[in-house]
Amino acid sequence: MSDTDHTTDGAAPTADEDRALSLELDGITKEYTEDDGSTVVAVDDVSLDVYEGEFIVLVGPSGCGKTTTLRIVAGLEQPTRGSLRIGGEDVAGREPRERDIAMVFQNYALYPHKTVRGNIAFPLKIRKYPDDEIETRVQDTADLLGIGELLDRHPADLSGGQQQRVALGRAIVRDPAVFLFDEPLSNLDAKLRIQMRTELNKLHDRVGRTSVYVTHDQVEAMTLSDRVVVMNDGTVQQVARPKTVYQQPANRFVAGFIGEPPMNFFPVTTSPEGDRLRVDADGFSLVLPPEITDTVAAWDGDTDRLELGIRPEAFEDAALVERSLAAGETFPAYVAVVEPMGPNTDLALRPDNRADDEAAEFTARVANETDAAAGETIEIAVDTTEIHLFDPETGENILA
Amino acid sequence: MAAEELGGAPHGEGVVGQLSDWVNDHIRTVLLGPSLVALFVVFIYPATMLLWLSLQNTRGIGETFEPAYNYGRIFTDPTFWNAVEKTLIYSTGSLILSVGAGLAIALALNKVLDSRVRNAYATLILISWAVPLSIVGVTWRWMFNGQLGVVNKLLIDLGILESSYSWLGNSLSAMVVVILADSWSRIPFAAVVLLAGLQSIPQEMYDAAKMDGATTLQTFRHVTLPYLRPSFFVAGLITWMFAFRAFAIPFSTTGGGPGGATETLAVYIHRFGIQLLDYGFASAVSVFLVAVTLIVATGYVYFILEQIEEIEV
Repeated sequence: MSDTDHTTDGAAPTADEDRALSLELDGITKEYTEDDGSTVVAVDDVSLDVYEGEFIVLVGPSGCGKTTTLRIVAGLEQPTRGSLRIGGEDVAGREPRERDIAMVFQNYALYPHKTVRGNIAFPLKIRKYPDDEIETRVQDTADLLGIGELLDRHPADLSGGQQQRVALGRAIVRDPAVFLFDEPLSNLDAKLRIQMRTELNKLHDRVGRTSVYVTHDQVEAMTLSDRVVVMNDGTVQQVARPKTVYQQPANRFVAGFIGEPPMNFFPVTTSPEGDRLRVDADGFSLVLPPEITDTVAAWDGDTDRLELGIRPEAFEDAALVERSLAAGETFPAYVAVVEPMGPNTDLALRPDNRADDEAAEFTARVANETDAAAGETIEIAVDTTEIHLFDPETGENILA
Repeated sequence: MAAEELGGAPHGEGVVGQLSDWVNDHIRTVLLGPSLVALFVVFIYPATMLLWLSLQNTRGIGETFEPAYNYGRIFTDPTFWNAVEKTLIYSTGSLILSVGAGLAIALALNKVLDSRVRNAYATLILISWAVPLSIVGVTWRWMFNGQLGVVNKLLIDLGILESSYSWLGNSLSAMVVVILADSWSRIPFAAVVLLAGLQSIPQEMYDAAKMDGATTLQTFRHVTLPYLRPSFFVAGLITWMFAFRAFAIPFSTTGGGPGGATETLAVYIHRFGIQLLDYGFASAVSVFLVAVTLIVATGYVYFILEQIEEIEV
């Protein structure tokens, strides 16, 4: 989307003169009371501004509060505290039907006794649209989704992908101001999921409506969104563009959640090595480049003990690196498992001094030309400009 | 079937071995035999006897084989058509009342979120279903007794009635009372079946209807009712089958009276077979009753299966 460039990064985007705000969540909190009287906080003080036409993806592990947040926007749940504005209007206490929003559900939630036509037409019939307009709108929507031929079938006669399209159709046909998606692709098989993902992207480009999409799948989050909202334990961890979330994760949680295979973490101690910073993990040491050294020096917290994060992609088989490597950029590692992936090869490695310790294992993604074989020890190189350092107490990313 | 074919144990030695070989070789007989014997004793033999007796003229001394005699009499006996009419009124009335009230109870129970409270209540209401039907009949007969009944006492105390009313002495009110008694004992069953149906409706469907803009009434019509259709048919069929063949409640409440006003087919069969000892004729009417029940039930089951197929996504 060409508009994406306008989107500001960060948890609270500053005023954007070009685009109106479509959704404003301000301090939304949802608490439940358990049977034993204790209180569970499902959503904890979530604030988020979504711009007109933006595609926002809420992502996080199950139970992180993303679905509850979506249901609060839908009006299916009422927040315990906080305010919600849609199109500039406070919608507190308003029924879902008074909010000009549509939602696509995980299990499609089609009316089984109605035909495809009846399903797509239902929201229009409820709103008492004239028959001829319903007919045109349903046909146009069905054609847009490529299900024009299926209008007289029942949901039970359709494949999962077709049912998903009908569910989309029922949402699109009303032309609402905001679309909500609750893990809509999670019931499809892997191949169909990728296909539908691409189609959702195209559909969003064509329809151009504000969309809020909930998923636990980080690939969906990265590929579909203009901005990603990473959630954990009911709180927002980071709001940023997909690339930013990957390259500059706000904290250890985001760093570990986004990226596949996940980032490797090592507890380290730090010490000066000339004018550079040196980090010592159990089994290897790295000397960090000057920019990182300066950033760490400027950090106002305690930097003696830190958490080092290295993505598998930041490793390379030293034998395949063409430039000459300095000391502090490589270390010897024992190869436990070799997994050729095609374009590259994943290695399960252990620092050489802990070759027998399975708990010390970390993942490296190296070029597929590697000669590494299980049981050998190889020299592994680290791109030290690509490393991350986290505060071990707060998990905050020192370098972001 | 030999043991080897089943991939079972090799042929054994000694008495135990021979016995286990025999069991292996006749596994179908061993497994199905006992239930076939039971089926024969309690169903096939009595049913055959019933058919056989229905072909006998049992008026007068002894039995004579006259295949058309009883069946010919059925359709010319005016009290038979009265019994058919009363049976239809009785079973339809009970069906509508018990499924209707069952639905109301199920809808209310479905709003109870705590599953322990809900299940406890559903179990409690089953008590009236568990009461033997003849006890139900006797209880209702006393409740509606003209001189001593609690219903008259309450209605007079409340000022609704001026003097005692003979509930069971009037054709219309007697029918209402037996229908009430019958549905009282069947409501819990309908409620439990319908509650199970309600519980199987995915929450997502209600959410989707809300998002589509449906009101509570529209949600009931477009989500709840269509999803409940199979449960309605199951509860309805079973309620109707029992009410259509009802004997204990009308017999113990009114004895079929007054003047045949509550004489269902089963009571009619009892009158001929047991009171008048014309068991040939009673058998013929029984064959008719079973045949009608089977035909309706079979058609119904096919209908239900189609409905269920449609609802399964």
